[in-house]
Amino acid sequence: MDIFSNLVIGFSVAVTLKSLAYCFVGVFLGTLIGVLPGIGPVATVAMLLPLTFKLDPATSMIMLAGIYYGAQYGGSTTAILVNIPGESSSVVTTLDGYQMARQGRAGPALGIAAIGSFAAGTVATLIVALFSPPLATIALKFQPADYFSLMVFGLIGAVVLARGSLRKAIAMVVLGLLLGLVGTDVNSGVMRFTFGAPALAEGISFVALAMGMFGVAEVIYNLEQRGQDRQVFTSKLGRVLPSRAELSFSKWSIVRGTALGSILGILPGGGALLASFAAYTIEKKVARAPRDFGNGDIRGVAAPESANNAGAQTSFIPMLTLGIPSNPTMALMIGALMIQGIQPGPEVMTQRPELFWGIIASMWIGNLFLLMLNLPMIGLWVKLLAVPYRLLFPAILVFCCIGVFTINNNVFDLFQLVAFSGIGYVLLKLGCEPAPLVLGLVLGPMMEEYLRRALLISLGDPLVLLASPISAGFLIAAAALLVSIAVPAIRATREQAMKE
Amino acid sequence: MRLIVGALCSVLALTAATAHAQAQADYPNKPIRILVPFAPGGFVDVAARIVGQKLSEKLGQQVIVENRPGGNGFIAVTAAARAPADGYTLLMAHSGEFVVNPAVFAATIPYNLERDFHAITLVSQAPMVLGAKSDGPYKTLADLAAAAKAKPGTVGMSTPGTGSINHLAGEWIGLSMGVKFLHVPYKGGAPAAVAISTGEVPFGMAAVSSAMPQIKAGRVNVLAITTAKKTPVDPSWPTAQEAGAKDVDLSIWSGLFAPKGVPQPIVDKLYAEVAAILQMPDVKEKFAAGGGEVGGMKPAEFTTQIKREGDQLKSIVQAANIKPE
Amino acid sequence: MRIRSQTDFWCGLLFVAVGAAVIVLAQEYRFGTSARMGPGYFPTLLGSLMAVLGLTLALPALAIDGERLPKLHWRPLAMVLLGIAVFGITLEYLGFVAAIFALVAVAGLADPDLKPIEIALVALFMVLFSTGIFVLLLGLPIRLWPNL
Repeated sequence: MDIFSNLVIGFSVAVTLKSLAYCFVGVFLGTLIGVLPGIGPVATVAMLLPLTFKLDPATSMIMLAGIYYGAQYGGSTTAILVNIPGESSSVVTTLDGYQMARQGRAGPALGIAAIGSFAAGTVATLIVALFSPPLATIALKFQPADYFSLMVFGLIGAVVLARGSLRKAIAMVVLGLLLGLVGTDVNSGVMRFTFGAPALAEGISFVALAMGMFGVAEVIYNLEQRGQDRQVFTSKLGRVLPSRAELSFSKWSIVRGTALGSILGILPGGGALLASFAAYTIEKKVARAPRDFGNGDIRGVAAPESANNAGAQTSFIPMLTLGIPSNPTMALMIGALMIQGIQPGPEVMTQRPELFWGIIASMWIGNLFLLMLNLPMIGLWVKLLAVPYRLLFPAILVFCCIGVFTINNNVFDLFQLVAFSGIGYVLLKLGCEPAPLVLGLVLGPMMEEYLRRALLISLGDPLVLLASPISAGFLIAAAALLVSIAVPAIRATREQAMKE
Repeated sequence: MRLIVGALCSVLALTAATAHAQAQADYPNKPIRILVPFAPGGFVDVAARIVGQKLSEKLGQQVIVENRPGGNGFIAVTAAARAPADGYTLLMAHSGEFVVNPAVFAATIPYNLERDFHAITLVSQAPMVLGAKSDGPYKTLADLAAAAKAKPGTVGMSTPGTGSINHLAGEWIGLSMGVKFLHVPYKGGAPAAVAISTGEVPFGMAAVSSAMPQIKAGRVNVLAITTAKKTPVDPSWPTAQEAGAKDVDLSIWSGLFAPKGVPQPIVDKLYAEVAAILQMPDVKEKFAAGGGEVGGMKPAEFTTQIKREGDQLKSIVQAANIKPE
Repeated sequence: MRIRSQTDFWCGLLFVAVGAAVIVLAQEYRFGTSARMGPGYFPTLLGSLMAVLGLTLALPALAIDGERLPKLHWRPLAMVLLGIAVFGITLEYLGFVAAIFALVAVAGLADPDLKPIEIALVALFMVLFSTGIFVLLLGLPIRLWPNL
């Protein structure tokens, strides 16, 4: 059984007129909902589910998968143009992408996101094709203690996301962890800090928080300046595509991002979520001239976008081979497969090779479609920024509101948006950056869940965290990262204090 | 400016009002919403979408599935209870909302089946499975009980959450065999099932659909199912009663409800249509894929079943001392 | 005593207050032990951490020079937040179309440069555009008109 004949099977399924058409519909819809902030892939896949009842399994999966990774792709567009991250993975893209847009470099930012995503998608598709079964067993090796230590590592890395004060960045991570406590505690079933609101039982709405703290807070901040003083975006329209120099500058960032995203995407317990954050952190630590990060460094867009897309592709490995969904969209796709009478699992590969390899082949084709679809659109997006801000900002607010509402069809989420917009504005004024907070919010609940589960199963023995080599490795890496962040910062503070 | 908006609003309001006056004539003449207390993708959501799509074909009206997840189902159920009783808002719920919640939350629950709803019909039901790692030490339910008896409270049992129906089923099995397991809750069915196959916990209580990938891969063995009746998914699986857990009989079901006050002719019509849909071969097949059998029982029978299960679980909850802290 | 870095000082104090509030609220939940943590364990731990971090920010601010407190601009803040809240309430009772008009009209007051006719045009455009995309194309379950 060689990879070549498998891919032949795959492409013979994926390169039929019908498959190509549905693949295109999928990635087109995916891009569309990705660009419209907040309309998640979950809602879209759910709405198209009845349509798939009439299709054969391979075609329906090709379309649904297209929506999923198309949305990952499109999500970067609003993050770059108007600072609105529709999902956690595009939060990092706002850091440098939006700054680039303000400097008139929206084109190169969008371009590198598209090119980086395509490169990452191609590599990750190949990884899925070559190594699915052995990689799936790695996912099974991860125990609660290992996930906990991975989360600790991720949270310490979150501090690096900020460009300002270190102490404020740490405080933001902790504030994120505190906000993450809101909701039902998995281990005891207790509702914590919900103040009697049933809508908070599932926790704070991530989309409401991200849109409030990034998108709406930024709108309020921009509206402070009036008339001629307001220079949200430079008036000159820059290049539409990245230059050769920019491409070669971000080459290694794309490679590193792809590698990291591919690995983390395999872990179903929150790995793919970490991909873009981790890629940014690593880039800022290893790259030359890291000071530019946060001020419109193209590598700060290239690495997380590549990681994000690579992770989106490899997160199909646990789904197809183990039946473990990495996120709600995947859970929905498993639902779609089950309606078709197919149980995801290792036997899909042997019993339904046309389905398994067809999906893989279509992923690469879908990525190609995305590149062809997105590159010509960039010119249009860039022109959008020429619209006067006084006309643009009401539209941004309308999209934020619709996006937040449609996640749960619940008006309460809009009041959460109001709260987080206000908090975000105040924090912005106090020089506290929201990116570390977001990571704390996302990882905090999982970290607590895994730690308490690890201790529950070990009957309270804390050594379980060091007994596993994976967990011990992450904890050592976390400690090293902490030292590398803290030492220069402490030295700087001391020097400043001496000077006084 | 605000004048313009105000004027527009009242014009719109007028057009909507005239449209509504005709709404009583023959049902349905506008789209029907089915509220679902879960995010898309779970078996209740899928059930709503399968039934919704067929219903829409038969009635010639759009049927929209609206997900209102959160708060143990309180959000969707209370929204459905408060919706206008005109038959255009329905609720697809599962055992959790009407059997488990009343037992666990008792007085604090904001809705009541008989006060707020008409039960239309049972849509599907399936047993839960007690699965153990296939290369682990426990081959039968008796092995498991013996281990738990030797070291009470140390044999881990994975479930999709504290106060889930799976949790209660596991406690019931423990009670009837006179042992106490170590409850290890997870966030959802799939992770709880995977935890069995990775050996995080020696066994777990899972819906058939969640456990199936692990069972088919040969990583998880089914030691018992929670219903008294065998399942067509695999008749070789022993029932809990056969395996030694006396009296245990609990299924996980999905059912369709309408707010109290919907005119009886509309309830009857909905029952007739949905019961017919559930007999369609392709619908049966779709539910069977998730390990479920279609329902279709009459509203009165359905209500009786819910009440019977609710009373049983109340005693389990008390005996096992499960309560929200 | 003079506060030399006002932003850091008040920011730190805010964090101390948040941390303290969390610790107080968390006493409602069982604390447990390190081996078997209750639902109150993590919140108490994190609340304390937050308060300590606040102190490390506020105390040095008394000694080291830093920024003065930034000025908050109330008009854009109030109007944007009010606009979103009004959108929520209007959506619940009067439907999608009215909600968009309400949001654009209220939030539009955040920018005095925006003329009433521009507000009306932007609102109209957004109604047509978002109805087309979200309701007609994507088929989201949104109520367009008041439910009477």
